Amino acid sequence: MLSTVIKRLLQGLVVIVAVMVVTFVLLRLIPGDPARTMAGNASQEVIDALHEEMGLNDPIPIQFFNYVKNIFKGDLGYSYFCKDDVSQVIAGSYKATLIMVGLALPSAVFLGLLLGLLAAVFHDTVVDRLISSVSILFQSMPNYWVAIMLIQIVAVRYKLLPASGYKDVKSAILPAIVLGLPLAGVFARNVRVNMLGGMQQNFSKAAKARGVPGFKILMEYSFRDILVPFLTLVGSQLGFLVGNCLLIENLFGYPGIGLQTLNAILRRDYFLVQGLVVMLSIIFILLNTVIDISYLYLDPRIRKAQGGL
Amino acid sequence: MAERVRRFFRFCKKNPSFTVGLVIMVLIFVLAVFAEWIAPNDPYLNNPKIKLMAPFTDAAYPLGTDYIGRCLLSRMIYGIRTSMVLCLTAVAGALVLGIGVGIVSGMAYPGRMDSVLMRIVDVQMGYPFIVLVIILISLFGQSIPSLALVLALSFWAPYARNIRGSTMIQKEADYISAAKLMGAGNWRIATKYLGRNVLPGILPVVPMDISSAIVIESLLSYMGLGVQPPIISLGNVMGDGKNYISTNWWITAMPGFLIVIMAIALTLIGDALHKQFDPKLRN
Repeated sequence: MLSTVIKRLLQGLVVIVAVMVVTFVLLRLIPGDPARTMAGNASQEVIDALHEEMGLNDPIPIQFFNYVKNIFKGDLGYSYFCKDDVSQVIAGSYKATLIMVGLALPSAVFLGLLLGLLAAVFHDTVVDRLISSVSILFQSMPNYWVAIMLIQIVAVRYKLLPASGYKDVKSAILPAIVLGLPLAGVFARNVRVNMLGGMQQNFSKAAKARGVPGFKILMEYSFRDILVPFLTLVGSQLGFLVGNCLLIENLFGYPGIGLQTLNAILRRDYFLVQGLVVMLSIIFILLNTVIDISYLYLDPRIRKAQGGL
Repeated sequence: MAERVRRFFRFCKKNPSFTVGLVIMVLIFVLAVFAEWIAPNDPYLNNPKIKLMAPFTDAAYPLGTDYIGRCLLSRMIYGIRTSMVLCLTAVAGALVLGIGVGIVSGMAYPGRMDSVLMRIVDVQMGYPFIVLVIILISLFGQSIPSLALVLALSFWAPYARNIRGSTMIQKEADYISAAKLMGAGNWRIATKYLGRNVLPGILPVVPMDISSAIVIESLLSYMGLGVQPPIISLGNVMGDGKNYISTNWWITAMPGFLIVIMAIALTLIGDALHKQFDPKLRN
C-alpha cells in the first residue's frame, strides 16, 4: 500500500518536473516579449534595462537553473505585470476559483447522482428517457455558448445575478452553473449505465433470488458497485474542470486562477504562467493519486489485486 | 461485403438513437461538402442595407444577416465545412499517434521504451490542456494545419493509454503466440493482428472527441485565437455577433444551436458504439 503511494507520488514528481521544463522552454520560444508588452513604446535602452532586470538576457538553461534554485528557497519569482511575488498573486486569486469550483463540483455530483439513480430506478420509462435526453443536452452544449446566453438572459435582461466581476458569492453562481452543468450530465449518464450494469451482476441476481426488494437491491448492492467507475470518471474530468475554469472565468471576467493564467499567457508574464501551470499540475496529480488510493478502500477486489492494504 | 452491409442495417434497426445520430451527421456532412450548391447566398457578400436582419423574416435570408449584411445561414454552412475538415483531420491525427504510441508501448512492456512513452502520456494528460493549446497556437500560428496539429496533440494521450492497456492483454493471447511461431515479425503482429483487436476500446470515444474538437475549435475562433477571417468557421460566425449580443442575439445563438445538434448526434453515435463494444452493457 505505502509503496504504491510512494511510487505514484514519485511518478507524479517526474511529471511535474517535465511540465515545468516544457512550460519554461515553450514560453520562451513563442513570439512576444514581456518587456515590450510592459513598457509599450519605450526606447530600446529601457527595454534592455528591463530585460536585464527580469534576467532574460541569460541563456535559457541558466535561467531555468536560477528558477529552480529560487523555488527551493520558496521563491516562485516575480510578476512584473502584477507588481507582486507570484506566490502572492496566486494567493490573491485562488479563493474566487475555489468558491466557484466548490459550488459547481458538489452540485454536479449531487445532481448527477440523483438524476442517474432516478433514471436507473425508472429505466426504460418516460422518466428515464427524459433524464437521459436532458443529460445529453447538458453535456453537448458548448459551455462558452451557455455562458454567453446565460449572461444575456439572466444578467442583462432580467438582472437577477451579476454578469461579471466578483463581489460576493452571488457572482459565483452563473460561472458555477456553466462549469457544473456538463459535469452533471456526464455524471448522470455514467451513474445510470453503471447502476443498470450492476443490476445484472451475479450478486444482484442472487439478492433478487433471495427475495430482497428491487429498490433495496439498487440502493444497497448496485450503488456500491458504481462508486469506483464514478470516482474514475470524476478523476478523468479534473483536467476538463481545470481547462474550463480558465475559459469560464475569462468569459465572466471572474477574478480567479483561470483569468490570471490566461492574462499571464497573453502578456507573456513568464514567472506567473510557470507558477500557475505547475500549481495546476500539482493539484491535478495529487487529486488523481488520492482517487487511485481511494479505490483500494472502496473495492476489495482491487485491494486484493494490489496485495492488500 | 453484403453480409457486412446487412449487419450494419441490423445494428441501425436495433439502435434507433444511433440511426438518428448518423442521419443528422450525414446530412450535416452533405451540407459541408456541397456548400456551394446548398447555401442560398454568397457567404462573403456584404450588403449594409440589410444588416442585422432578424431570422425567419425574409425567405432570401432564412436565418437573418450579420453586422454587415452577410447571409447567416450561408456562412454557417461554409463554417461547417471548415470545422469538419479541421476536426476530422485533428482526430484522425490523434488516432494515428495514439494507436502508434499505444501499440509500441504495450509491446515494449515491461521496458524502458514503455516507461518513457507512458511518462510522456502522463505529462500530456497532466498539463492544463487549454494552456498548452494557447501556447502552441502562439508558437505555430493560427493557420488551419497548425490548429489541426494543436487539437491532435490534445486528444492523442488517452488513446495511447487505452491502446497500451489492450495491447498488453492481447499480446498474451494464443493467436499472437501462434503468429509468432509462424514467424511473424513485430511489425506484422502490430498491423495485422493487434490493430483490429485493440481498436474497439477507443472506437466509442472517437465521436465524442470529434464533438469536443468542434466545440474547442469554435471556442478558439470565437475568442479570436482560432481560424482567422476571411476563412469562415462556426466560431468565427459566432464571434461576429460578439458585439451585438444584447440586441441581435441570433448571430451568436444560431451557430451555437448547430453545434449543440452536432454534439448530440455524435453523442448518440458514441453511446451506441459504446453499448456494442462494451460486453458489460451489451444486454
